[in-house]
Amino acid sequence: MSEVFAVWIAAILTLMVYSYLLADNPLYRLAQHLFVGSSVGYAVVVVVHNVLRPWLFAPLLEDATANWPYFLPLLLGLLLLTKARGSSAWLGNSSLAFLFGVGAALAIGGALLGSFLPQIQASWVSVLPGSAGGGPAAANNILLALGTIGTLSYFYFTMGVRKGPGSGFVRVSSTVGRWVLLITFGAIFGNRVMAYVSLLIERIYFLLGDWLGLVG
Amino acid sequence: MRRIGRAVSVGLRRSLPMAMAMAIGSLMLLDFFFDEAHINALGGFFLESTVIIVAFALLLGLLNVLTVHLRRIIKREGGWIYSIALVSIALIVIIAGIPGPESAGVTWIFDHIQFPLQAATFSLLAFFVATAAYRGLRVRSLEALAFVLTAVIVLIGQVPVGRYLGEFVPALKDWILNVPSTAGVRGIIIGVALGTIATGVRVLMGFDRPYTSERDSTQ
Amino acid sequence: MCDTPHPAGITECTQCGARLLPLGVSPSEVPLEPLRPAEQSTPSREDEGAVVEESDLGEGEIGEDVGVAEKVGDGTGPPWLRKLEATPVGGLAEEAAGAEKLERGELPDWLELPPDFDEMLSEAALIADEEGVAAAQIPPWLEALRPEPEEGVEEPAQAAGPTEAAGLLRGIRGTLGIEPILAISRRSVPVEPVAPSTAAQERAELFGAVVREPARPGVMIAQRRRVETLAASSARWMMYLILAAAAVVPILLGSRWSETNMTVTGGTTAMYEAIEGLPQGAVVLVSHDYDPGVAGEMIPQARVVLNHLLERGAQVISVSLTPEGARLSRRVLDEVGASHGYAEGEGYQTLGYVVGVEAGPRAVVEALATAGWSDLVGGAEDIALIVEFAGAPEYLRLWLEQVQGPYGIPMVAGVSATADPFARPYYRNEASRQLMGLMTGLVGAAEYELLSGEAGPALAGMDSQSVVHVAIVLLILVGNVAYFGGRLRGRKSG
Repeated sequence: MSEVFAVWIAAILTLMVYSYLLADNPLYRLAQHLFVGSSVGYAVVVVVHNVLRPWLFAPLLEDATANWPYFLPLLLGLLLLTKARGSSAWLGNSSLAFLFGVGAALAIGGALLGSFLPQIQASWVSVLPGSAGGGPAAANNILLALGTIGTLSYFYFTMGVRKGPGSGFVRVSSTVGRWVLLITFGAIFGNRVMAYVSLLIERIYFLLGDWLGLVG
Repeated sequence: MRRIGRAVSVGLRRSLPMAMAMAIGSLMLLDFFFDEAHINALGGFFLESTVIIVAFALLLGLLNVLTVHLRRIIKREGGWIYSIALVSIALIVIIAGIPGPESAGVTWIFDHIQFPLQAATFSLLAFFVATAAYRGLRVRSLEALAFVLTAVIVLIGQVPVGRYLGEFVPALKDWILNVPSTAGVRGIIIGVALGTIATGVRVLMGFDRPYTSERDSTQ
Repeated sequence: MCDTPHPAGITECTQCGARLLPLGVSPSEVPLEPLRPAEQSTPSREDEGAVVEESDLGEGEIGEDVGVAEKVGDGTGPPWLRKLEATPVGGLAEEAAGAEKLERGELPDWLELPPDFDEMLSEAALIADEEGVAAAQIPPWLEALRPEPEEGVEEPAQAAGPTEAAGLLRGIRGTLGIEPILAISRRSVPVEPVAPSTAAQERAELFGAVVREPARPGVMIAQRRRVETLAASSARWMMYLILAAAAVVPILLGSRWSETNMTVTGGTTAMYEAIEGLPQGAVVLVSHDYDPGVAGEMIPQARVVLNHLLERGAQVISVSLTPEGARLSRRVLDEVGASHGYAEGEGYQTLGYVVGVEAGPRAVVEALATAGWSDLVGGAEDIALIVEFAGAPEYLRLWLEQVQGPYGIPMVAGVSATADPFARPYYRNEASRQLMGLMTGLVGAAEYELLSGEAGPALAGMDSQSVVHVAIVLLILVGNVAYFGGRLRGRKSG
């Protein structure tokens, strides 16, 4: 019985959201506020129980003297909460500084080791048919490398470098980059449509299957 | 006396945070690239602390949403009735979640209220993207032709219908996704990585101080 | 005053009656002319009087000037003044009236220097020398104030530049040259009348017609706008209806056509093989980084992959970078685990939610090494594979940059279709294999189901996906046809 009730609640809420297709209406706005409210509440519960409890409270409650270093994140975290009020906001500067310091360091290391170097290495692959594994593969490698260089020059040289040595090359590669980016954005758009259609299909399966029982 | 007080105040507001960011950031950078027992231990501890402090930051943001809507209810500002719904359901979830996120009440609300609402909201986008495609994908120029053609090939090539139309369709879709699209995104990734490294170095060297407010940074 | 061009020689403007002077003549030096012959030819008593008065005035002014000149001209002034007195003033008017058309660069007569100008200059110099100005008596205290000539301070050198060769400033250096544009007198050129083109004529007539139209009452405009909005809305609703029908009908019909016609992309195959190649009991870290918004794509992916993993006997450690992901993954895990005979929590472990910043994945991997987090692993090196389900590109990037790069753990990913383009460069990296396999969206899940041999909800949705894609492509085509049709029609009529 409660199962049916639950399914009906879910179906009604889904239809309330779909009413937006007709026009913006109070049912839709109510549904949106319910969504935001429940996600805020759920996030609070998860953060407190999944992060703060095992990572902070557990060590401190277990053995406060042995785990004394954990008082530092506790202090910094509480100081961060002072950011809620403008007058005392400066107390939280140190906490933010901590976050930014760690974040910046990890971002630098990650971007360098995880994105920059490997992607540059990826472009540095063989363009010889022999080692690339066939003519088409080698051609694709060449196109990949040229496309990457073109994209970079499009972003970095849209301003400046109009005259001087090499400007003709820059202009050509910028144009190449522009066309490569057009194709890229077309592919991104096509993929995006595919994603949204998949989400729609899943909801329709729910409405037709779980709710109305028309499909098995 | 006053001068000492002022110096301490400035120190707490600006210098201490900056020193902290630079010192801890440098240590984490060393931890990232080098493998040494003491650095590893310190780095591990700072990682855990970061997770905890970010959790506090998330809490701050979430509670801020609630206070904004509470204020709207108290002052009877526009749409305050909806704010009542928002705050009530949030409080219900928080109270029901005192035992934990796997408690019955929280899971029921999540499965039958939050999940359908969020899934339906994002599935609406399919309709909007279709009307946008109808209205916006007009071939006004050669560039538009390239964009529209690519989108159409990807759309048809991703589904089995494409193969039905011809073997070349999925092959073309694969080529588009693997060569030009990858080249473009690779360029974007490299550019973004460079920007990230530059910004990170600026923060670590103290040129950028995003953790101070406007008032503090001008002193 | 009215800027109407006239040929040279005309002294009065035909449009507004203003006095016309040849270019190069200052108005103050030309006396008022006697009236036009036209007026003089129809004399009436008053007109004659007016004529007489006009000329009286003019001559009166000139008379005064002449008078002034005559007063001074007693023979005591410098020679150039005496010469001016001698020039008949009245003659100037005739000269102005009969001015010849000037050639380009030519100066009028009165600007020309008299031939004996040099003589006059030297005379003036001689006179100055002869008269001999007496040296002034400078008192000694003033002498003492005279500044010492400083070293290094140069006397103002002779002015640079060539010596003026002609004109009043002859012999002087450092003068500014005459700007040619000022010195060149311009000829007036008759302007051709411009006839408006037929297109401009038509547009002018249209403009005139619109302006002459009486104003329409606002009600009619509002009505028309409401009709237009309704038309636009109904077009929109029609499109929504087409889309909904395209999605619903294949599901209702339960067609399974796609199962026989699916192609499997290389990325999905690679992912399947990576998991297939895992040894028994391998520890796999699975990260569910999605929210209910993209769950429609990701849950089918998670379900089929977890099924495969548990089939291979892998030990799964589940974690999530989003709060909702923990709950969603738990649902899937429990469901799949139950189908494999595991009791809840057996054979797999959930670590729950970790904050979705750079520190999160890194902290998870480092925490795995410390005691109390997991009995399954002693550290990062014990993890055989990372399986990442990314609802958005940034989660994938976090895992790649913070864990896969530094620790070198093999990684495969299932991504939402929106994130696929951003994940491809990492998959297509032959140099350093960052991603060993890549699965995209609901279609990828369907492909994986095909490879696993277990048809599931993903495959069932493929027909609907195909029809909707075709519908959208047709919408794009129709939109373009309408657009080009409108343009052609516009060009034909316009």
